[in-house]
Amino acid sequence: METIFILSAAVAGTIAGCAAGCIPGFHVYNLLGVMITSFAMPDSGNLLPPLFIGMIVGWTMTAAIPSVLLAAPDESALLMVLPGQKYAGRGEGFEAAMLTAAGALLAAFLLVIPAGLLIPILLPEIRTTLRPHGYWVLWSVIAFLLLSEWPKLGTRGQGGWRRFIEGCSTPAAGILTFLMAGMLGLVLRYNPPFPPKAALHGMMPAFAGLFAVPWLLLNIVSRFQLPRQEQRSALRASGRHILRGTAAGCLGGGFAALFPGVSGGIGGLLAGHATAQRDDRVFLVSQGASRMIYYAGALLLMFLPETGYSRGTGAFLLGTFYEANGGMNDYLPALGSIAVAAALSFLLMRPLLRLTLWCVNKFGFCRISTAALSVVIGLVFVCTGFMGLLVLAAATGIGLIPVLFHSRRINCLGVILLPAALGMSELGPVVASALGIIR
Amino acid sequence: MKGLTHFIVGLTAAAMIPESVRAAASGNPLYLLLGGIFGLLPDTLDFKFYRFFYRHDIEVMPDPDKPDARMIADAVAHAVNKAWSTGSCVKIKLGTVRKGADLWQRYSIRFDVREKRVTVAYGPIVDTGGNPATDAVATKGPSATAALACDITLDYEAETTVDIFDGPLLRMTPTPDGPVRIEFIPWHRDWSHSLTVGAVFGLAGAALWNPLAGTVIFLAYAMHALADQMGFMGVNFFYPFRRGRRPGFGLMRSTEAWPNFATVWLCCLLIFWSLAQNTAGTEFRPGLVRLIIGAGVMPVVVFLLADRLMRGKQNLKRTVEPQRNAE
Amino acid sequence: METNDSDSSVAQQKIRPDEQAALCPACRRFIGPLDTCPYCECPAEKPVGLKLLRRIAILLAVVGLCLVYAASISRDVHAMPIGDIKPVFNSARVRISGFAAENTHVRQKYGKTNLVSFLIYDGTNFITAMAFGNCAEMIAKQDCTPEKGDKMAVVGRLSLKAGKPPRIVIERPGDITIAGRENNVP
Repeated sequence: METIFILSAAVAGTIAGCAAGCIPGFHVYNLLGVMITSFAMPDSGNLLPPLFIGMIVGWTMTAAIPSVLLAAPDESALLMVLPGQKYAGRGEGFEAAMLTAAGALLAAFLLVIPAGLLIPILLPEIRTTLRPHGYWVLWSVIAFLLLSEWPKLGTRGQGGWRRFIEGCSTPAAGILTFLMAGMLGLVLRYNPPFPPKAALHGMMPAFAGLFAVPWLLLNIVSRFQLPRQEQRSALRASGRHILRGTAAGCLGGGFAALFPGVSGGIGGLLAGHATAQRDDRVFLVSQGASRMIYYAGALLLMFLPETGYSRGTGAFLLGTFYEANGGMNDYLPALGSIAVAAALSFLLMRPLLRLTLWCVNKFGFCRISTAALSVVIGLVFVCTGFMGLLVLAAATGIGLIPVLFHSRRINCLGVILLPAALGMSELGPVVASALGIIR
Repeated sequence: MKGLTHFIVGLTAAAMIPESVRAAASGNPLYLLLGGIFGLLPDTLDFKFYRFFYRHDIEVMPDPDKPDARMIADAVAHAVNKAWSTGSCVKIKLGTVRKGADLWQRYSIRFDVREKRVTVAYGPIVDTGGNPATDAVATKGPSATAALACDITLDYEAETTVDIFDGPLLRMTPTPDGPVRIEFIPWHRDWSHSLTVGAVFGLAGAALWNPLAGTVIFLAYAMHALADQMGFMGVNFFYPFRRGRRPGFGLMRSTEAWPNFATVWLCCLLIFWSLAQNTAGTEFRPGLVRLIIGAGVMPVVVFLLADRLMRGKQNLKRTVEPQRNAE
Repeated sequence: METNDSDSSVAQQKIRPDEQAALCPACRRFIGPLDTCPYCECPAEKPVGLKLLRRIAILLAVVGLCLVYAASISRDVHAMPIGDIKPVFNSARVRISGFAAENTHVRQKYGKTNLVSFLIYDGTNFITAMAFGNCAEMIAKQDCTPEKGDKMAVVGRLSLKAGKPPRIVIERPGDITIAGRENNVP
């Protein structure tokens, strides 16, 4: 009987997560945070973990839909377009989203079966070795992130200061973005301008402003019209593309799940560099795999027998209301929930893609983005009040810099990287005091 | 090698020194960070500073709407001939041809040393990954050949492809014994990749911090140069005592997936091994060979087998489908 | 000079209507987001919304960040009775005032203090205050560890986990204020 309840909770969570994933700019942690603060969390015992897992896995799978179909590749604004945008511009957005989903599904499979068996054996030893070194790994990631930004301009004209200034404008914009996002992160970490009841949502306005709102604003301002999307029954990618993409994504996502402060996006970037990816299909598959391993894998660590670790916001939120008992009674249902959620959400991909395309055709790119923007702003206001809107505005300004000045958006992750690195180095309070953030 | 590969190699060089790891475990990450940063620094100096100040004499800007291979071939030939006739270096920058946000017109320049000529040929339109765009109508473009007035020697490959982002710069250098030497992107891997510059940085690091920091800096810098020497272009190890790059060993290309990945993964295992050996309080101390075999060789073998299986299925499908169509 | 031109056909690119803003208004060549055409040096015509967005971005980022900073430093840390603590307050930065219910526990590893903890009672409930790492070392060295009965206030982040008693994590030695001793502790 309990198995049926657990399965039902996983299915319900998956459906909710899949629906949330289709809303551009909406993160599953927003949904979880709203659930926690708006509804008195039921004394649901063992039903919370499968519900959370279902929501996170479902969202991870379907979040590819808006990121492919609802991200305008405005050629008059963007120096480079992402692979998903390229596909959408060619009428192949359906395929791009399914490639991402394929990577996510295969990654979930690998997480449940081989990794699920090996993690409890290998991870405790690995973690003991790495634990004192997590802080410098984070600093290394930051150093690489800033040093690896490629100058995209300054390719024409005679050598000299003019070309240098033009060329270095993109890395400079990247560094500026990182520092400003980092400063915002420090304020929110050490002295947030919110009352205690909004503490759980502390980072929501920042993330919404850095990532979601710029995306939606560009959609609204852009003149992009989504061309007719082809709905193919088969992917134009071979098993080798899927295999390579999944392998790269699993490495990146695994790295991100292991080290606090490192997100799935950074893991994906590092894996892409490490495997010298050039094929868009491999990239799309790896993105799906990386996100699945990061989000689901990080949450799974919480249920490890005997040595549960809290990694990621999902585990943080769940851990507030649910105590893992540290045995196989927790771990095996968690694995099963991931499997069920991944399978169900993959099956829901095609109908949800069709629904999204129908909405885009009926209401238009601009209207949908405006509606999504209203949802994001409304959510921020409800959860964090006027202060949250102020943080949202500041973060939006910072988040627009990489988009409009041609640097990488991943520099916005300075909002968590810098405070995390400083915190793990035990310099956080010192720096915050020096900057006057805490007195 | 890709940037991440160089960064990790530098980090590994630092991590192989036990004192660096012990310092990191005690809260001082300086040596490891210096290793990573100086592992990447040579390319940072080239691509983010030096190349913007490197001056050229001729700039070729092909028209995206009117492909003109003749113009490009004539310009390159003119640069070679001018270098030969005047006895001075001539530098020519070849511009890329952007057709769209993700579309670039590829063209190639081929030097024929024996026939003393240069051929320019337009190729397919490619995306930013260098892959032919799926909606390309034709793959063959115009081509043109121009004769050269003198003998030439090459410091890199005979054919240069110009496609994405920034086009290459070629330097035509007259030599005392006659032929004009054609150097590919001469601003790269010259002084910035030399051991002398690495030594200078190392001495500065030793003066600023301590001898261990200086050692780490020099080692990481040297590893970068050594890794690049594995390729084709080579490196100038002993600038300013020697001019020009020494030809590479030709073992790999910098953008190839497997050498990059194998290096990164091996380095990660070496770092982990060093952390396990040199961090107080850790009981898990795997042997290096066991670790490389268990965590390196075995997963790679599994992956290669799966990849082979996929390739076999792909080939089978390609064989079966034409047969079915024929029937 | 020899010539050897061959017949050719180069791939024609289809231009979408919304890509017009990415073309040079004079020569119609693709220039993307550049402000000036590199071929004919004609200034590009960018959508007004985009130009406005660039200016707004810088303004929002700088002014917004300053305002957020000002808002955060102008707030006093919220004082919270322990009995009012709920799970939704997890990670909130609060001030807890009360009495030390027991002497401080200090844990050392390799000769360094790495954990300091003590129990606080404020008349409504108990909470464990903890400091780790360098902060614990400094607290121990500066001798600002409370003894049983001391009246005190601490500022820190709430750490609330299901199945565990509430905790407050202290991040600086200066966040502990000890007023004096008090005997009426249960």
